[in-house]
Amino acid sequence: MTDQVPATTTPLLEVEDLAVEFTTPDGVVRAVDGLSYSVTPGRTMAIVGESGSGKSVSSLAVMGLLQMPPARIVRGLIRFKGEDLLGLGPARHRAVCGEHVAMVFQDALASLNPVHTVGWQLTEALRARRGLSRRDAGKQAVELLDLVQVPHATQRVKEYPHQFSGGMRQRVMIAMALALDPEVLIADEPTTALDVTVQAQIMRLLGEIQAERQMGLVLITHDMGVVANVADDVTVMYAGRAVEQASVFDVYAAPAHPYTRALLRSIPRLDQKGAGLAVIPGRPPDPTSVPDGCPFHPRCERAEDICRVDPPPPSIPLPYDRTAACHFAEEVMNDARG
Amino acid sequence: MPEADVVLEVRDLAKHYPVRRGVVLKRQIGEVKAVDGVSLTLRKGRTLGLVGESGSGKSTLAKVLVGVEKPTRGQILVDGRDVTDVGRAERRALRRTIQMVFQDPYTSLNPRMSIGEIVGEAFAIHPDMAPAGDRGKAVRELLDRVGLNPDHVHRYPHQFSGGQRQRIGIARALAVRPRILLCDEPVSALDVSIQGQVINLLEELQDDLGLSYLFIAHDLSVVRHIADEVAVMYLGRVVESGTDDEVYERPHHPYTRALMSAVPVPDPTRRDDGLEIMLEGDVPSPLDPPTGCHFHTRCWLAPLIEGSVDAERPDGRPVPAVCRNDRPKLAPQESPDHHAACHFAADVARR
Repeated sequence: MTDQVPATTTPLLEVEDLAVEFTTPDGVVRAVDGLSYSVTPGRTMAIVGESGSGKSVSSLAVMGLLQMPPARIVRGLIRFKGEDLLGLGPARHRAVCGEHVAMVFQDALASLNPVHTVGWQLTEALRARRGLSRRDAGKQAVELLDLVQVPHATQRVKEYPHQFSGGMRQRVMIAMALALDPEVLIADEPTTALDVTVQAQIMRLLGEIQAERQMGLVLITHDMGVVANVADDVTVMYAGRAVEQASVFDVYAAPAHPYTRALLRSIPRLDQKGAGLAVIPGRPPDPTSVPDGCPFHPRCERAEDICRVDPPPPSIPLPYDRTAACHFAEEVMNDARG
Repeated sequence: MPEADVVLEVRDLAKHYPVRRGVVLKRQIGEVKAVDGVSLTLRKGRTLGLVGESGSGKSTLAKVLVGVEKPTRGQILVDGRDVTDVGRAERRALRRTIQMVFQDPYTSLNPRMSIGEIVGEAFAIHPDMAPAGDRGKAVRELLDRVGLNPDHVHRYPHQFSGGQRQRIGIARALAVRPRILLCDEPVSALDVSIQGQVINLLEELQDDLGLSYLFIAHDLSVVRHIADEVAVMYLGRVVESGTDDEVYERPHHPYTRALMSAVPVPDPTRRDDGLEIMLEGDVPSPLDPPTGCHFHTRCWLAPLIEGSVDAERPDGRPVPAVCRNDRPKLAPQESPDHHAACHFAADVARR
């Protein structure tokens, strides 16, 4: 979340040309198609997209948590500190992630076990992987709850998930993810189910912990407001593809993909009372029948004949170290600059 | 504005739920004041936005208004007529005036009914709305009206996307030609690109049909966009109300200020504006709300009031006695239509 880290830092996590397919009764669905990104220490990569864009599937693939079959990784590389995780086999892959890459899910109530105390769950990993005694684990649990600013931690480790509010549960989830001191944290819609005042608290907490530990953060979200507030880099996904990648300032100042542009225009804003919201016509494609050519062309205001036939190259390089998958990326970007 | 314009008025409405303990001898050990003395006014052709966090009572209020729950106290007036305690027949007639659009288009449509049946069901209950022979035509017109293909009457809900299902829900609500729509979080389950389509549809329908909306949402930006007047709820009470410009641009309640500042602005160049007022902790339990002003335990302003050394709140910061002891009244501010329930409303505006 800061710019103090030099850009030359080696990436912690690298995803390269990842493609994931699911076999369904309706045929083979390509949920992720050619996604690449990397995260360096202390930086935040936001992956933005609507439902079905492939943003969550890609992170499950990174963690080695996809059910295979029906899922299948068709191609691509996932590296942690240079080590190819897919080459390790599923068990080792999960083991490396368990140790170094942690994940926070959206629905904290569904992700916590209702029959165990919060303290027990917080330290499950510590006992299993670090061989901590019950006593030491208990101490750790209190420290972890303190870290995520849950009041009365000594008392609350003895309570069960249902005794926690939504915001407090999400703090517990974050504490659990931090138990093994991960170097990368993947947060999948961590604040979507929460009220805005609680969302603000959680995002601030995540930012503080990240800065202190110099973690790499992958933030998966649909909320362009949250992205604007915390991200360093942005990957915009549509129909399983990364359609635009750039620094957060460049994306908001001058989107280079018509989808990003339309998305930014369609957000109702607190500081603007406009008449009539800009709207993206139609809806995201059904993953079993993604349109030919550019998958966005049926909804795109810039589309021409070429867009209906030729898929744009996955990442057209643009100035300022950014890319966009649009035949007219440079023009769209320059238009936005005015 | 002349009173004749008022289509729906709520006066001091309350809904309290008893809390019981025990299996055989159920003792009442307390009550949850889900809605605790709320007054609202909705005018013809206008949209009243009702915002608040979870537990603020906004959905309970909606349930009371459509007659699903009986109010503990207070009055509901439709076109100036008290309808709080009407009988079954009148309640049924009332449903023609007020209809509801629900949050979740996935669970609010019966999966075993075709959309023609879902939308046309109202005609079976209110047969005089459309003569038997014309019902098919009426349903097709409604689908067309909300932007769906009328040829899809025989399809089932699962064949539609979330945005389309919300349109089906709106068509169903419109079938009895209501004048008031109660929209409970109508777009919060939808993707951003689809939200706009549904909001624009609601605005179009309002212009064409002269509908009045009570629009309940937790998303302040959406409410800012659609509402003419706004009421902010906290723990069962309205803490501020006024036109949307008054409430959004000149908030007079510390909770409103904090709520607005917590909404992330989609502009990275403004992230360091330092506008954000952090609220500590969660909304207190409505089972045991704080005394006096419900907000005093989380209020950022209370500890800053001079001479507020009288008492301490849980976090150890001082609170003026008046905030802790007296429930603040919803009092007019600079303009007579702008109300805020804070003992120090003037200070909020000044800071």
